[in-house]
Amino acid sequence: MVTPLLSIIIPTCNRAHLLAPTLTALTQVDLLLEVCVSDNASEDATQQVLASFASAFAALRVIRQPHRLTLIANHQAAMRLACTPYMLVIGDDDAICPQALLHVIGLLESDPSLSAVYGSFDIRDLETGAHRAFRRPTDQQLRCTQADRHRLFANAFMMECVVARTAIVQRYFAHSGRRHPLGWLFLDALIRHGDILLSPEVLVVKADFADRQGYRNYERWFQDLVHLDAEAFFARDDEPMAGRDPAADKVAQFLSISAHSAVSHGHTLWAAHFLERLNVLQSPHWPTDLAGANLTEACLTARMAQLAADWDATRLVVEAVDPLPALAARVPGVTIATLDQMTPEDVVVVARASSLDALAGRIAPGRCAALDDLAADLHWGSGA
Amino acid sequence: MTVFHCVIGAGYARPYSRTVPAALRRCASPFILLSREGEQVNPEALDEAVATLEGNPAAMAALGGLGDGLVGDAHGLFHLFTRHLVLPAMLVRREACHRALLPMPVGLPDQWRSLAGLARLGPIALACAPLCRPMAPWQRLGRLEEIEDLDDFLADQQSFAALASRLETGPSMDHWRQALDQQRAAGLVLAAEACRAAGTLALAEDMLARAKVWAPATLPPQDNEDHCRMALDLVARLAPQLGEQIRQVMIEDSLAALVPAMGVPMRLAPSGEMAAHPPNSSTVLVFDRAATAQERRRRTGGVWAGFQFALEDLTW
Repeated sequence: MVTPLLSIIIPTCNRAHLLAPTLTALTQVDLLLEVCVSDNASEDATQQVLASFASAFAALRVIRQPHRLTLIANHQAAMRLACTPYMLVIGDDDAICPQALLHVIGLLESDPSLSAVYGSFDIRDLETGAHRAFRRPTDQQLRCTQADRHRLFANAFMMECVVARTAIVQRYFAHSGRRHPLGWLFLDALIRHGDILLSPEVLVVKADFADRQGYRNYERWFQDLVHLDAEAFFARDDEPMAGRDPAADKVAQFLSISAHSAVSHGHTLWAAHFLERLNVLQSPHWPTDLAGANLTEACLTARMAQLAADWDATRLVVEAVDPLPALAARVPGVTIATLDQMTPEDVVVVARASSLDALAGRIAPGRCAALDDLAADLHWGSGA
Repeated sequence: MTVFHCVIGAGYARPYSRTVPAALRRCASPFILLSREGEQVNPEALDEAVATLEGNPAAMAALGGLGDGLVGDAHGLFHLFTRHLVLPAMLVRREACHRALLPMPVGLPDQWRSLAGLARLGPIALACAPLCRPMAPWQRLGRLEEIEDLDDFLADQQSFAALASRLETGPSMDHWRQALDQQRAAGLVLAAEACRAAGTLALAEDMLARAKVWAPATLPPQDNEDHCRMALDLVARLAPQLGEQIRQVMIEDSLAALVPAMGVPMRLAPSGEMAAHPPNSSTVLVFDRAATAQERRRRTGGVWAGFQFALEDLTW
């Protein structure tokens, strides 16, 4: 009997509508697969979908978590299910490239000293199929040993696409609690127990949707995870530490990428937050293309919108001083009025804090703000 | 004098950053006391702080328990930051709160970055007595082992340095960054202590590893027995995640002294008996030595390999 060599690891939660086509696509590839799914206590039809694929693969191993786990714990639960020699973690909306995977498995089979092969991945729009981006760790095949840790760490942000030996993952990584299943600590576990190969071959096609990156980056647990992953990788270095810069640099890179993503999707206050934190790191990753007048204006508009929303106001009264009327005009869902039309029910924005005194007694203090106060922490430091 | 008391719930879940400012905007009292859930107000100290602000119109806020006098420049804020990990309860003028704190969309009004915003408007009075009975720092921060709280703590420190260093001539950015390194390492060690107290030793290890990057000198000594307990604690936590079908955890009897309370039935057994246990997915096996676990995995064809642990694998 032929047994599969590769386990496809799929953590999922409440995305039956995406999981079904993903599994269908996996049944159509010309590759014998074991599929391991950890269902993170889904409340939708995930279990029914999985049941319908019960005999579709060489093996389908499923665990349904009785309680909702963290995303990381669910990844690791799925990793622990694997019983084949190699594993590849994918998202429940991703697709695999079977020919490239066959080649990678061949490389691992023929060279026991390799612990993993890192490949490239393609990113396509989930809705339209349009190509969005392409990420590859290297232009040509490259073998790396423990001694290359620093170089790898310095030259890549996060390496996400890897076929790894199951035995190493299950022994050294899959019990480790808070470690990102595709981050630097994962690479650490692999490179400590064998060489790794970087390959330009595309192994996975990842799905993309609007603000995919932003959706994670605004989550505090993910922000902390980026710190943890980089810092702990660096902390595990056997050689004496040369300084704190590599880990700080990785955090700065994350903040810079996050700021870009936030700006491109209109989440300007988040962008300001990321840039503010980036300011003190004085990193070479400062996004010089972002932190200018446009971002300041977008943040001010967002703060005025927030002020109006806090009072459920549909009208915004602004002083007729540039750039206030123009900024107020961008606030969605409100009409604009001038100071002489002000009533105590309005929300008011004036240009200077000194003008607030003139409003005293005419409107509640919380209902009025000065533009220079709204802008007080919008300082773009080294990028300005 | 009426003081509006804003009690911020333990934890930094995202709704707080919306609900707290919205509540503060509706405040009509001239002074606002910002404290944390569970902190007990000291009425005498509060009266004293109100009198301080009434007697000193330039002062924007009063903080108890940090000394005496006024602080307002970058040097003063740096001095405070390098001596205190967290801020205590504070009394803030309503207008200052509206002008300095509420426009800040991220974070909470009693955090470090907010203090820098207040200092932009005027000096901060350091009242003598704490306005509330102080909590342990990790209690004031919330539970640092909850990941979003820790990131909030680190982000707040970075933002504070960015804002405070702009106030006027003060310590160089290098000094601010060194202070940040020390403070974040101290926060991580604190988080590790909180994790140990809560029995989540694996998280404590993560925190200490990270603290090592920033300020190695702050690290407490390691304890081998803690490592082993941590490993078994992990198994106890993993067992329920391995699926609803787990019926028992079998632990090699050589580990008896370290076994924590399990969420599922647990049985100590000799290594030989465990190695001969029929392969199935309802029993988690924890061996003392990796070699024993590996040999069993080999013999059982790797079936449910993920359900068979060795203490050595968990404590590498």
